[in-house]
Amino acid sequence: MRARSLVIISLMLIVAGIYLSFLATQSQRVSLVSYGEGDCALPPSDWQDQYWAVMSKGPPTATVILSGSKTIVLKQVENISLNSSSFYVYVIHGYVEELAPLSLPGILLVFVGSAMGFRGTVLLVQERAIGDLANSRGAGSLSAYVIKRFLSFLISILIISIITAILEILHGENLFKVILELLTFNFGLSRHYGLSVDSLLVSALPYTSILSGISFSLSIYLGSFMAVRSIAQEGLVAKVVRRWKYIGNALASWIIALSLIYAFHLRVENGVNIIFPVIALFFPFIGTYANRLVLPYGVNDPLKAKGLSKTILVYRHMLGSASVVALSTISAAFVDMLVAEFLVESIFYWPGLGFLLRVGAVYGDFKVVEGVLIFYSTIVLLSGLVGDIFYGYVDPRVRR
Amino acid sequence: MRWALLGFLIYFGWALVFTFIQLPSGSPLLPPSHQYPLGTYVNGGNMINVNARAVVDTLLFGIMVALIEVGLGVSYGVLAGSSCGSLRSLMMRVSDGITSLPRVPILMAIIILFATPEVTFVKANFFLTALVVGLTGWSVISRQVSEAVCKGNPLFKIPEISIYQRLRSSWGIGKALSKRFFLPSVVDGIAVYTALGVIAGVGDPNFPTLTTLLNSSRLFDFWWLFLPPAGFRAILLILIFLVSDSMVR
Repeated sequence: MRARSLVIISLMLIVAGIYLSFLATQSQRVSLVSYGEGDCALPPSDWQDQYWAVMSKGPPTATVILSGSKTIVLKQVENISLNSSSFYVYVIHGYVEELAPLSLPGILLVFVGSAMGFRGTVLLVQERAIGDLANSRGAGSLSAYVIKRFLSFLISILIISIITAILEILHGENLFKVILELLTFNFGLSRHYGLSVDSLLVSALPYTSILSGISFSLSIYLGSFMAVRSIAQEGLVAKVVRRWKYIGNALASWIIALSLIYAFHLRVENGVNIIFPVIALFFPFIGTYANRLVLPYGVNDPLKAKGLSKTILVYRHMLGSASVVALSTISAAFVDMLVAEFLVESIFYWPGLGFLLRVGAVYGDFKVVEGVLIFYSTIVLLSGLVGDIFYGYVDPRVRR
Repeated sequence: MRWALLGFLIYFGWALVFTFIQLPSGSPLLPPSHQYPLGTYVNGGNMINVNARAVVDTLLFGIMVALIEVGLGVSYGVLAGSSCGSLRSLMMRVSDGITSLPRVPILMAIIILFATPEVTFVKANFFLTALVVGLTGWSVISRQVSEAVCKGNPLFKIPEISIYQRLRSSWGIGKALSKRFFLPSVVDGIAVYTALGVIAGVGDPNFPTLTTLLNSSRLFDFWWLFLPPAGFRAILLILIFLVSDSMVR
């Protein structure tokens, strides 16, 4: 019953996370207007902080109307010097993702849901085979475990903040400004886009979130199913899973992505259907997750010597021990997948954080690169913390 | 072990030979034919030579990264493991903190300090890139070495033994573990360089690797620019894994 509830809650969280991410990708055409009189036309004051859908729909465009008759179309949004003092109307057109911040809870829900689904699937199989013997016991204190995990989270955040601060200072930024930026999570303006880095990050996250949501949950569910099958019975699936280290490296996500582009003659510059990045991402990772679960375990001799039945050996001892180790490494698996997602995004021009990182790097826009670094690190570390606490709660053995 | 190593040596020998022995070049982007079995590259170079050179450069990058990662990771791990107490806990917290950080964005942020952005790619010195990749990848090794050193040395239970004596007695464990971590670190270096190359086109035109070839193949619709480097990369990684696994066994 507990396992079934875990699986159902997990599926609900994943669907909710993907739905929130989908809502966050929705953009609508917006016009921002400012007007005034003078010899310099100024754009609306808060235009740089809007969640412009720059990566998916292009940067905003601007028009200045002078004295209600003459219209100037600008290549980019900027202050315009006028020949004489005139009445002007400054209009910025573009697509805005107003719900973009929803992607943050979206990606966290997907992560927690997938982590829960992983434990739930294994537990469900164990319960069906051995009933109440599937329940795990352990003596570790939950509060001590949570404090330990939280301290690790703080240390990691501190290290990443120090690294970012050092890099900013090496780029010639003022120390106090850097500290203030880090404390307020305000990374200034992008040199390439002229927009607030925060708004660029938040408007790119929904695309990363929706892609990782679908791929991660698919990989986790299929991966745990394959792992359980490989542990329970020998056969082709077990052989493939045990050798996945070789196959997974040879057929990495980005190789599959490039192969799909060749096979389907995709013109990625014009946008691509989400199905292609999802295939490139989830396919190698099913095996990777299954491999992580299966590889370190076999039936050890003392247990065999006790004369336990094969069912108890496999479903209680092997699967139980394997899932504890896999649970504690699932955050690392999520990080691996997000790195692979960056590769796939940049290959398919998928307008997420990975593609934003690429644009920042090739244009030498260090504000964007460092913004991606700290934003992405926070998401990863927060996901890891939430996942670890959840596992500590549901499985006492993890707390040791 | 013997077969995996033999396969690796044959493969590496082939790459080394065709890095130095130049086959005839031709017009740019010729498809595979009797004269050019793997076709020609964008500069007209024979794709056998281009791929062979890329294999050597890829391996060279991996080896440089492995030397730095293993050197730092084992030293830090032995130092932490030899203290085997609260100092070790503190050192491991720092090491775990580094491990949990997303490596690729960190590397991108560091690399643009010394690289030249060229709009379609980022030109970064091959050796400096290897150095920073190595400097960010040692923490996982240090955790495992520290555990092995702390558990594997019975002398550590005697408080009278000084840290210097502990370090000396742990050196053997560290040395043995270095061999075990070396080849996986080579793969790690290659994989990270691949990620940097694919995401932002990080590379050095003077040292083209298999990733450079695969990245440049995206600009053209010719299968022989993509398929052979992908195959050579897969073979290289599988052979390294096989040799590494045989060594562990």
